[in-house]
Amino acid sequence: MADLSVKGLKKSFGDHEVLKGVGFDVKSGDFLSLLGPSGCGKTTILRIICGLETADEGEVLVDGADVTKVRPEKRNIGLVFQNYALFPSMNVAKNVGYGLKMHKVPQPEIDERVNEALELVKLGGYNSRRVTQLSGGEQQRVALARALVTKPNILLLDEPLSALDRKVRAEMQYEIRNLQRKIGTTTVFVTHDQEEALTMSDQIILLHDGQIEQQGDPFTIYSQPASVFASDFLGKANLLSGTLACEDGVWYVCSENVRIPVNHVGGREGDTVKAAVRGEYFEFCSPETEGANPFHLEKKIFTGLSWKLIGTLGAQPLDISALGTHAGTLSEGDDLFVRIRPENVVYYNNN
Amino acid sequence: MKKRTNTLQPNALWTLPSAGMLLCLTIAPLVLLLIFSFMNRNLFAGQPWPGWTIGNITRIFQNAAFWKLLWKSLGIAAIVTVICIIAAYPAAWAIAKVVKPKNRNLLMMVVILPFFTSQLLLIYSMMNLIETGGLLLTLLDAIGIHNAESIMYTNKATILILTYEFLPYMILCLYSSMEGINDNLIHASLILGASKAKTFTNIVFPMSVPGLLSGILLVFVPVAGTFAEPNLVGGNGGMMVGSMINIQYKDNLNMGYGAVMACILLIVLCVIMAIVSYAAKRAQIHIGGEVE
Amino acid sequence: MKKALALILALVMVFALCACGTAETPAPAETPAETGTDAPAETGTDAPAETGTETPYIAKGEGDFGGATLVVANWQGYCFDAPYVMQEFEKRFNCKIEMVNYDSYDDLMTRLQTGDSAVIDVCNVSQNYTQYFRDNDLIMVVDKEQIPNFAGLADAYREVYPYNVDEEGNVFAFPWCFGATSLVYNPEAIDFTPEHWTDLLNEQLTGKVATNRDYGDGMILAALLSGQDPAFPDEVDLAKVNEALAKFKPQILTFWGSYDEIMKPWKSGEFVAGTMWSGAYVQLKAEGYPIEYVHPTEGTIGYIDNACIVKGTDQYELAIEYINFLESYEIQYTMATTEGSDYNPEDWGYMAYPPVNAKALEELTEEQRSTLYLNPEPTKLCMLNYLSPEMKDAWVDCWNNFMAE
Repeated sequence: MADLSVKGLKKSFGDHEVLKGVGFDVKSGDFLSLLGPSGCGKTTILRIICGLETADEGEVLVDGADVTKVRPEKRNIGLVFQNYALFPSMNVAKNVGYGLKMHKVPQPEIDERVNEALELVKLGGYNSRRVTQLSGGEQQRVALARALVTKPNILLLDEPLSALDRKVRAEMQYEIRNLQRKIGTTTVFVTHDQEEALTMSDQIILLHDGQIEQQGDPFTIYSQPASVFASDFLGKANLLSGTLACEDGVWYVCSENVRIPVNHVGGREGDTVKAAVRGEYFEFCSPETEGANPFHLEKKIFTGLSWKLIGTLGAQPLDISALGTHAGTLSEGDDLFVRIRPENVVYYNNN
Repeated sequence: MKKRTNTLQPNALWTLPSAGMLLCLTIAPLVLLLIFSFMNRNLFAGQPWPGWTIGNITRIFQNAAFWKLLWKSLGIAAIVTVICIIAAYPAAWAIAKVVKPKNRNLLMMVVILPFFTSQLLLIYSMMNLIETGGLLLTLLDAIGIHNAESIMYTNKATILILTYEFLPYMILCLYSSMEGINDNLIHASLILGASKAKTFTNIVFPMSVPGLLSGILLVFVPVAGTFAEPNLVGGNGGMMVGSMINIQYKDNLNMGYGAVMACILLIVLCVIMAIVSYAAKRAQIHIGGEVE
Repeated sequence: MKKALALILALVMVFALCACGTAETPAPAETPAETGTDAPAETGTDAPAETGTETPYIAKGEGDFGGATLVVANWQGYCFDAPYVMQEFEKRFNCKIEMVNYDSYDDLMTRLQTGDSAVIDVCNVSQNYTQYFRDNDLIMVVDKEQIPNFAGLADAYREVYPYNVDEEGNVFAFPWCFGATSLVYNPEAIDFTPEHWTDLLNEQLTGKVATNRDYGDGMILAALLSGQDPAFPDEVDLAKVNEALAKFKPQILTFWGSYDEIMKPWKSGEFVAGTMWSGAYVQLKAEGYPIEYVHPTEGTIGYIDNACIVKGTDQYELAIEYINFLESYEIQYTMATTEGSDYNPEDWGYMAYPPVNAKALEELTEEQRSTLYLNPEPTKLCMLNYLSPEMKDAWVDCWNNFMAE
């Protein structure tokens, strides 16, 4: 229920510069994911926001108030840890009510709010359970309840689902997002899993090597990755090298017998560019169709949700992702034709 | 039914060495002690059983000095234990959490260094420190505190030396518990609004209780029964119950009477330890809530 | 295979625990024969007749015993293992002395009764156990004619009833040294010279007195403080003793049980008067500390150490020679002065013991007498006698109560 603003964060550990100047804003009630590979500094940003680390330079503002120098116990921020960090010597209710107790809330109110919180995370009645005997998912819910019960201004989650198995993780993603919408707490979610970020967030910030690579809503980031790194990190993008060419006002990226239509955003004819195309955006067509390109299928892999068709587009490798039954009928060694819409292609100048 | 081959199947006989040692070296002597309490005076090897009696029991309950020494020894043991706890908590925490990991082993070595020497040497080195004309008083004199009296030959000296001897045990026990406290728990507690002090009481302390109880056991029990230290430095009013038991065995050769004293001490210590454990458990429930 | 291995492990453990000791768990039905050691009555099949009738062996002062072994029991480091005794005797009589040490006279008594691994021939026993050992038939009566040097002992220590001689005059214990624990004081710390034990109750000495932790010496002192004689324990009124001890308690600084515990507080000036072993007195005096002693008029706490022949010994004649040797003027003089022998006193640490030999006593110099608490000689030795178990319990309790206050 508060705006979060981070400006110009710089942080070094010894010689290693982890954050090189990071700044972003989160609107009240929004769900922001900090996405990036290990070591990019996302956890450090989180720890600076909640006060466990202090930045060498920069500010943290909550609802306009500068909390950079405020001690962690005085910032009203909730944090959910990757390994839950539940207090083993306390039962579920005491764990959840811990924050309220520390804020000197009277006991009857604590009991009431704890019960509410447990209901919210679907653990009603677990009050007297030992936390060490809960499953991973249950422990994570308790951690969530504990963070939320104090009605924090900001909710921070540090890769909370990495330790869970796939199915539970998927459930929890849904539940956390639901809960967050319901309560409306401003949330910052750290993860290295792009699918998770894409599923849950209002906004994603992609971090790379201590700096912000790209910021935007999930769809934009996914379909319009701003750099090679971005395109590679979110989903698997095929990178096709070629030269820009223009014919009848329509721009293409050409390479040998391959022509990929693009929306012109920069560059001149003849520039060497790399085009990023997602495998799932290709359509199968017949050779005469406008924009058809030859695709030679080398290998077919079934991944459950879809078929992965590994082959070459002209001379360059291409992975196509195809759903369902049609893909099932294809055989390795087939020569096919595919096409792609220009709005689904992004290109970059030389690396 | 296929016969199991290579798995190390637990077999009753495999437990015999350790269970046997427990039986022979721990339980049997305790049972003997109990039996000796009803024995008339002393048993010598090769001599017939000297006879049963309950005289030892009736005598001990009329021996006011014994009970006085017993309570006094328990009191001294309690004081030593409390001082050890107060001193050991910060030390163990520092070694477990604050110092750099590479220095940890070195510090632990320093803590257990006293164990490398004999107990008597430890006592004598402390005696040299605190006696009249010793280092401590000389230093005090040098900084202007004249007329300071040595605490030698008082209970204070006994307590000091016992604390010195037994502190490493407490530090070790607490350290082993604290090592297992994940840093994230502290962070979580801070973020939820607890001050450092409250974090200690609510999070660190309950998790250190297993180590605390072992530490109390390792300090309180031996100190209650010791006699070397009070004999050497306790002075006029310093005698502890261990001396009395020792005298029965060494000088008076009334093993039966000594055994009664030892048994009573043992029983009292067991009761106290049970109470302490129970109190710790209740404290844990108070902080942590009831668990199913 | 696994079971066999487990069984072997178990058996190894059981045998390992049994091999070390012979003590069995007590049960009323246990008889001595089961433990494989001898009951007292059975030791030494070729022991000569008790009082050496027929042709009694008389000590000659020299002889060749062909390398025979004489087993001698004493406290560790207490004269018998000094070179001028042990090596000299071995040389003169061509034999070997095997020293056995004990922790207490009850320990010695147990060993004599059970036979132990080495069968002891001669043992050192203090006066408070000699009569008891005799009554339990552990030591032999010896015709004093067999030990010529016995006649050379000073009157005061030669035949002291009932400690080493019985009503009929039979000697069963042969004194070889005695000791006195006198009242020591620091003349620079108090302004009077103590004459009585009760002077320790003087208010100048509050918190500055140290005395022996041992209940034996302690109770002698306690009896003396209450004006009673500890030689006849049955007649000592413990109520009076307790009264005296109550007055004594505030005077105590600490109790000592070893040389170091005596020296430390004296050197630091906290221990100003009380009792101490003469060895400590000698050393402190030699190091220049102001220290003097007196023999209070009521009597000096003391003891007499005796050499006794163990019943059932197989080296009777050698044992006779040994006792004669101990009581000889020559050895007694060296023992008292550390002079007069071929062996360097540094080898045995300058320990000198008060001699019982009359001639040795006469020849001591003033200084030598002082170091042994013999200048002047004690007028009366107050010694412990044997305490029955009940009496011992009562006395131990009394002293413990005093210490525990």
